[in-house]
Amino acid sequence: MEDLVSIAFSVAITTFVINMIVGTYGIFVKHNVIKKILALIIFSDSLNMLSIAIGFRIAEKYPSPPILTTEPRDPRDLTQFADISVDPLPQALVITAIVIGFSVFAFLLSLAVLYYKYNGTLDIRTSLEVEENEEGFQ
Amino acid sequence: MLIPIVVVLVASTLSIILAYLTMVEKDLLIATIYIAFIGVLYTLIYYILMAPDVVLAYMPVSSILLPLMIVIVLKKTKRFEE
Amino acid sequence: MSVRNRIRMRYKKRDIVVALSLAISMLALAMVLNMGGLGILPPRTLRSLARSIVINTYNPWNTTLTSYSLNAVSAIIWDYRGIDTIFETSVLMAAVTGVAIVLRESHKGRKPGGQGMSIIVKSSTKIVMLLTIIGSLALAVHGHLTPGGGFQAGSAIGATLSLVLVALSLQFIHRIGIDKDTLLKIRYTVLAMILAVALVPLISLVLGYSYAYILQNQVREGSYFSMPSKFFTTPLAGTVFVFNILETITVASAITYIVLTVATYEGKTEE
Repeated sequence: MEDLVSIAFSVAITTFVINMIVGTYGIFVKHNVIKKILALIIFSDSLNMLSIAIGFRIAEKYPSPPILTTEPRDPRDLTQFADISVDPLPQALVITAIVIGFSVFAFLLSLAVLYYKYNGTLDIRTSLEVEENEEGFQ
Repeated sequence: MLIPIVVVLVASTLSIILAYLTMVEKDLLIATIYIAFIGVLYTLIYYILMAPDVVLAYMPVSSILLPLMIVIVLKKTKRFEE
Repeated sequence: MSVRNRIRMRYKKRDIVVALSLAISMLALAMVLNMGGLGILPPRTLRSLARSIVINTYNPWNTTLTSYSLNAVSAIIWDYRGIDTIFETSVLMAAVTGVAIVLRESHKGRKPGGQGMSIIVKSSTKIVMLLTIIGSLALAVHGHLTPGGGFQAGSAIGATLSLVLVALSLQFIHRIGIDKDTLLKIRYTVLAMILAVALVPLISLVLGYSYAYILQNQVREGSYFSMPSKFFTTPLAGTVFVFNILETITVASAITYIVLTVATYEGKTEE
């Protein structure tokens, strides 16, 4: 039974890494500004998921979230709780990462509106083609 | 312990297919709906991995706020790629 | 036209090189993670840092390290790594400032138009909005006892107000009294209050009352300064409770401000 859990966990981690690579490919290759922002959203979500998956654990019956349900009356209650609880440190760091990611995406979307206002199109290649034409000209 | 493992495997495999589909879609409104659906699948996986605080923080951001702002920006610029 | 074809072939070669190198790096990263690069995954015992946090988060027998909060994640966010959260709140403030400056031409004096959606949508949105705001305030107050906390409740209120902006019209938002200037004023006042609560022990140290540390929650070594730890019989985690309530108000006003600014922007395309 525990072999099955380990194999399933390895498959899940591989799928999160594949999602990260799909997002990185989209940032490099696509030439629409909003498509690049969508690829960045996929990359950031999969990276947060990988961090939480590393913090999971196997307990003898079932793991529990890192929240005490009753006040402990005995120091033995605390060691029992530490035997079944999941790692709380990656969860706190991922909550901070979600907030920072949301503020970055809000700023990027307002910059995309300004890009359309000044260039008339959402294509990245328009600002690159002018430089290429000048280079071929000289 | 069997059913949570199967749910995690199915949800993560479905998210690869959806991530590939958003990269090749030309209609950006449908790509936004795919992103919101990936957010729903990831919320389910966070719940099974015993992280309730992350579920409460991730759900409004990925399903309501980011798709709403992308749809507003698409209305002010172009909807179709190229 | 030859310049354009040359550019296109250069892009095609670049696409293939990028795809191949990313595929090789993905294979390497997945192999390293699955063969135990970060330890056996999933582990059978907690790592030592996590174990010390989980044991000390509500520990009446170790009054030097405890924080009297039953929720370990809230204790980490506001007590053990509190300065991380102070800087994350300032990143959100920087994003609000950036959006306000880049989209500067949102007209305030123009008459707000629009009529909203049909009457069925309007009535059900009013009911749902009331229920969601009450539920989010419950989440904010219980942040140290159950899953919940400051940012979770604040973003739920912000998302509700954005949906009200979409379903009912902009006129309704202005009639309640939510204006862009009001939101900015609320946000900066509450941010100042968060900083004040974080720095109160330091000020008391400077003024000579007692020895204290920054972001101090309960009694620590060499200091007698402490916040209340029980409210009649329910555990109350001192500064964690106060920070949760303040963070809810500030995050809700920031998110509503961002969505309002992006939605009412009108700049003509200049060619």
